[in-house]
Amino acid sequence: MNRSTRLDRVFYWLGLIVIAWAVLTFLLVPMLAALQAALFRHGSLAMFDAVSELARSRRVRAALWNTVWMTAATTLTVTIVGMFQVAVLEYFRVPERGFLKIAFSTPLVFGGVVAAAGNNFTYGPSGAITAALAALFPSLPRDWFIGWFGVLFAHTFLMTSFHFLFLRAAMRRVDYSTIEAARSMGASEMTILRRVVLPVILPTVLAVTLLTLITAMGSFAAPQVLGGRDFHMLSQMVLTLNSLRRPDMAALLALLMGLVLMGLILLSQYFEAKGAYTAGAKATTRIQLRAIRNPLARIVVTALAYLLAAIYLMPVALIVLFSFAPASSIGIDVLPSSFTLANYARVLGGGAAFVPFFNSMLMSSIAVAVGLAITLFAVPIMVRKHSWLTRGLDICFVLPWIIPTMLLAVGLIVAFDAPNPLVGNLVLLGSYWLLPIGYVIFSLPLMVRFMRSAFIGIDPAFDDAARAMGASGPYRFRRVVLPLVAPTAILVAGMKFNNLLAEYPLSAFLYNINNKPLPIAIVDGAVSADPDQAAVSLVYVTLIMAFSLAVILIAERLSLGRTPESSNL
Amino acid sequence: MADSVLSLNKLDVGFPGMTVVRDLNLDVADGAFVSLLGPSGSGKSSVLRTIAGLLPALGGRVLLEGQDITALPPERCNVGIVFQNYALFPTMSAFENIAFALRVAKKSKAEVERRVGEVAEMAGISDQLDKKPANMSGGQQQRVAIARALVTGSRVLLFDEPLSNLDAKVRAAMRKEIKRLQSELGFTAIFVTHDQEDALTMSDLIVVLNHGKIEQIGDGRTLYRKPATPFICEFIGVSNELAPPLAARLLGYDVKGRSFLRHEDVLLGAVAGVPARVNHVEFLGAHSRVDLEVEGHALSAMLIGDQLPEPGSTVSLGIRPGAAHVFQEVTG
Repeated sequence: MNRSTRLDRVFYWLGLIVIAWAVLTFLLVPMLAALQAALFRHGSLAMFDAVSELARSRRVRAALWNTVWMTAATTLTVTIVGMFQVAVLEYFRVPERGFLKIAFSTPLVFGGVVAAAGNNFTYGPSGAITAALAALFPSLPRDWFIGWFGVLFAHTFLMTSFHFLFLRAAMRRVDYSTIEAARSMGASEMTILRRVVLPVILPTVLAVTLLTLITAMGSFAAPQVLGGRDFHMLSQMVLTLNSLRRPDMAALLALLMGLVLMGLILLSQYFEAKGAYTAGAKATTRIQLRAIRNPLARIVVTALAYLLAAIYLMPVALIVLFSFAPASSIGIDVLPSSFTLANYARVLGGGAAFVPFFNSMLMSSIAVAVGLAITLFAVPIMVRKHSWLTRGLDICFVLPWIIPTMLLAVGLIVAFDAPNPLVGNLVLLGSYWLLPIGYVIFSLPLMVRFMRSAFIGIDPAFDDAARAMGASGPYRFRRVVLPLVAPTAILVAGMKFNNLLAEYPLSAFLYNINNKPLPIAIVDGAVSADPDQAAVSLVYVTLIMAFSLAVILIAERLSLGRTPESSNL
Repeated sequence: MADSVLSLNKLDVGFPGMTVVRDLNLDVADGAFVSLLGPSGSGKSSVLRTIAGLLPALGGRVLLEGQDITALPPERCNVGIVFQNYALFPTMSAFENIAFALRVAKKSKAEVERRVGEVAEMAGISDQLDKKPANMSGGQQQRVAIARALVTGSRVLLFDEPLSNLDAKVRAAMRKEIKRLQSELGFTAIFVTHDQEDALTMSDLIVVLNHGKIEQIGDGRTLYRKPATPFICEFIGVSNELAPPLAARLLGYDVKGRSFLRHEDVLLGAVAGVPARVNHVEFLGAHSRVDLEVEGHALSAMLIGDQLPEPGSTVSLGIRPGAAHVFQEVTG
């Protein structure tokens, strides 16, 4: 063994040890700490006491009830809107399909905290629509939108991205020749939809419905911004309990929610797998759009589609417009009468408004860089070597996907609210670093999943060829492997960076005065009565949307231009 | 052998705990084209990878120009490899692909350019060097792969089933191309394939492997005309295995063991032949295949020309004298 290979070995083991320490310290220990806080008190099992204590709280009971019915209502309304979208985009012939597609794709860049704030800026007390309505109906209260209605409204139109992504894809997999066959045998349109099309897309419909249900149940930013004083959901309760210094109750509530969510995730994966199975045939005929024959039905469907498009596009358009408006016109004008770059100057100019922006950029960059470093080091090892160690590592990396973010957050808090020997007896709670650490853990599942498929997709002959030409391990990795996985790495880094800029749950639990991030500032601005704060928030939201859009466009380019696996002959 | 460039000496090939090929001996003459032919799982690719140093030998020695390279790491074995599907790095241009080994060896910029230029010139791809593999035709990719294998000065090139994923026409063109480059550039080629046509058309010498053992070594004509084992008989060309009673009837003596007769050695319309019933006739273009039944035994014949017997008719069947391959069981 020569000197350089010996050095490689040292780095290899050092890397593994660091990763094992990180997984233990920042994932396993917090999870156990959360479980302990939830289930034990003074060393004995006290779960039932805590449950009954939770049940006695009127606010918790109200939040539970709100969550249950809001989840049910949201699932229903989202399914209706989502199915309608898919029908309009992929089944019926409706004029200007391209425009509708753009409109219906807005939830991809306009989700979570961004969307909650956006809806508030549109329909909330200082919203442009509210200003317009107030001009028409002076008796209308300014906060007409705030409460359960606003939350349901926001959920309905913003949780359709699963339908847009997955159900549309399922629809495209319907073999058109089966529809033609049914028609040739005299089936009516309804029969075709019910007996031929629906059975093919049904597994995906179920999976998408469950995903909606999961998202609605864990909804956090929407009730926080739009729920007002009286409508609360369980996620908010966890945060409240935590801020009341009852981490045990917070952990227990998060754990109970987590158990329900995990069950739902498993169920949705079951349906997803079934959906993939149905899509076996490759040589299918692409589905052809059907004209609606009944003229009245055609007009109604078209009108509804355009109304829906307006609902999607209006908040985005208003936000971008008002981000260029003087703060004084927010909540007064329906459309801004003059334009200025003052808001952008305030955010980007380095003053107080710049701080959350800078914090989020910095923490997200650090988290993405650390996440990528871990993934690029660990995934090739996990792909190449199969042992209990790599399998365990693999499971750990995917854990944060199944565990609810809030449980992880509470776990990190209870694990690091006192000196912890695993981190040199530091108290991390209240420091700058707990939030970025949370961001890294939160980012790992997606990164690992994407990078794993990228590494698996590499023909092992490339490695053999490079080895035969004398390239050392690190050299092969740098010159051969890294360029092959680079497009995926860039893509996944962009996606994750983007997610983190608008990440609400972890941020809400773990931020402090030193590192207040963008999503917290956006929510503050959204619920604040100060038009200057609102103006700054509009700029934040616009910047995040612009960044999301850029990532999506880059992703499309990369996936179009990237063909390492299909380059042969 | 004095002029052999590569020798395998009692080589054991495989993985710890599982020997795939045992006790392999082979001498390859300088400039020869040698094929390792065998069905999948016969161990031929493992032999290749062991020669290249990608798979440690379990025993025995590999000698390159008299020097023992058995225990050397792949980069010091000084043999070039052309991989299945060529394994050209898709993110690098043709130039960078060819230059890879030189860059690993930290050659100067001028030398890299000179040597890549030379080998590209020889392979006829000087005008393709800026292209990425995805933008090249299959033939150009193959030339880049060969240039990449030659650039470090290797005189022995190992081909790991490079043609296995191609359709018949492209495959034939690629064979010619490899053969042409080999005779022009004068390298020694070890070519692994499971396709008998690859082996028969290109090789000076064919090594047939089966279940980790050499069945026979020889040129294509020898393997076809004088198969050493029943396996060769069945693996190369198409043969009828004669049931012992039928063999006795056609050959005129008792056979203890197995006997084979190639389809083209079955003659129809023979004088004083054995009566055979025509069951089925398949027209295949250049030739036709006739399925017959002789005294309850099935037998197939290959006919050239358009004069074909009618199904259901009876013909007189004979065999080309001396054409049967008989493997008598050694008793006692």
